[in-house]
This record gives sequence, C-alpha cells and structure tokens, in this order.
Amino acid sequence: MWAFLHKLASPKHFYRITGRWIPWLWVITLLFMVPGLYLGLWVAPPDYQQGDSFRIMYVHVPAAWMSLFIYVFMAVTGGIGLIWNMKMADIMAASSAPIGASFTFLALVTGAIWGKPMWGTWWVWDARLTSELILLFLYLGYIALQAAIEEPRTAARAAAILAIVGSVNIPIIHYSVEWWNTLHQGPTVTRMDKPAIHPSMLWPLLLMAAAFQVYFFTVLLMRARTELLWRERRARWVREMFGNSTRTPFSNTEKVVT
Amino acid sequence: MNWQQWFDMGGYGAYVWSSYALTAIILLWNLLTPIFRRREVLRKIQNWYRQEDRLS
Repeated sequence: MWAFLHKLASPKHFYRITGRWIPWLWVITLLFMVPGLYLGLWVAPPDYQQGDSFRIMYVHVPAAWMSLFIYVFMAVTGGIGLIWNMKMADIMAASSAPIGASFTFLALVTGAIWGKPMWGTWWVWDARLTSELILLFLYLGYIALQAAIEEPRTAARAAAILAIVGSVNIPIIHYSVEWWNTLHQGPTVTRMDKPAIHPSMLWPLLLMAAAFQVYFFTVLLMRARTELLWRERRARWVREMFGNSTRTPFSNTEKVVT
Repeated sequence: MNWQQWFDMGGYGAYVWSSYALTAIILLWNLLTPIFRRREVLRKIQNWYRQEDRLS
C-alpha cells in the first residue's frame, strides 16, 4: 500500500497509472448515476409535503456534500504540499479548486430553485445559505490567489495557507442548521439514530452522492494530469512522450510553413 | 404515470428540470475544460520544445 502510494507521488508513474484509471472511473460514475437518476426521477414517490419538487434534492444535496468534501480535500492536499514539499499534492489541491467552486455554485443555485416554491423566496440570509456563499468566495479567492502568483511553489504555499485558514468555515456550514434557527432544514441522512427518510427516497440520494464522488475524482485526475505535463515539461519522460515534434499530429500545420 | 405527467412534475416541472439542466451543464463544463486545456497544454509544450531545439 505504502509502496503504491509512494509510486503515485512520482509524476511519471502518476501520469501513467491514472491514465489507465480514467476510463474505468467513467464507467463507475455512470453505473451509479444512471440508476440514481432513474430511481430519483421516475421510481421514487412524490413527497407528501413537497410533492415532486423534492427531486431537486437528488442533485442539490450531493452537490452541497461535494462542496464541503472538495474543500477539505483541497486544504489537506494543500497542507501536505506545504509540509512535505510534494509536487503532486500541490497539483491535486490546485486542480480541485475549480471543481469545488462549480459544485458550490450548483448547490447554491439548485437550493434557490428549490427555495422559491417551498419557502416562497429564492434567497434568505440565514446561517446555512450565508456560510455556503462564503465557501464559494473562499474557492474563488483561492483560485485568484493561485493565478496571481507566477512561481508555482510560492503560489501553492500561499493558496494552501488560505485554504487551511478558510477551513474553519466547514464545521460552521455543517452545524449551522443546529446552532442557529435557520430556514434551511436540519440533516435528514446523517442523523445519529435512523435516517428520517424512506428507503425508496434514500437510495437514489446515496447513488447520486456516490456518482458525484467518483465523478469528482475522474475530472480531478483529468485536470491534474494536464497540469502535471505542463509543470514537468522539462522532464525527460514528458519530452520522450510529446517531444519529437515533427511526428506528432499537433504540428501538422507547422510542417507546411517550415 | 405517462410522459406528460412526468414532465409536469406535479406542477414543479420548471423548478425540477431547470435544476437538472444546470447540473448537466456544470458536469459537462467540468468534463470539457480539462479536455480543451489538455489540447492547449500539448500545443504549448511542443512549441516550447521547438524553440529550445532552435536555440540549442
């Protein structure tokens, strides 16, 4: 296990190994998502209070969970890069930020779309919604900070510190519905006793959550591999793979010119 | 349940389908950006190598 992780930390092996994973990860994503959508949009019965509008939950809740998970992932990988000076950890942290921001945006907008018919308003400044909005700003701040610093090591260090400091917001988001009297409903699934939701409604939620989770790792690896190539362009293995420019399909147009 | 009823979503059709449409857009965006970025990076790397070859 450790030997394998150690191998993954080497850019060359990371690139090679994850390249083989990506098609399978897409298969797994679809294996969760297709039944999740079928059960959630077709099989599950309408909610006795919310009617069919509760089906928004099947994209809203997984998106919100992912917005928190990706932030923690970003802070942890950023921290690893900060302490042990690991290039792969830096790349993972930087690559996860735009994905996390997009899921946060999705959670906020689908929440608003749900709020309109259920609460009668698109938006309220309650603790859950406000802290989730701050999370979006943290992601955007992280991306902007990283883009503002030219040198990759310095950029990674500065951004990692921002991510770690900002992670104080994560428990605030999670417990906001318990600490404050919010309009947003309390947790239904992660309760200590029994989930307060019928299995026919819970299954699609779990499948969609699993699909979003695998999907995140798939697109994360796609981003990370590209970022890796760029940062490692001086390395011999990248040159061997993509150098020799006259024989690659990308230089066809250039050949005519020269 | 027929198709018409299904699209209607008990009167919440506009809310439900706009949520799922936005989800599809976000998921596609996350898929397409790395693909386009990869093409761009490969082009940049090859230009970079060509420049280096010329200098050396």
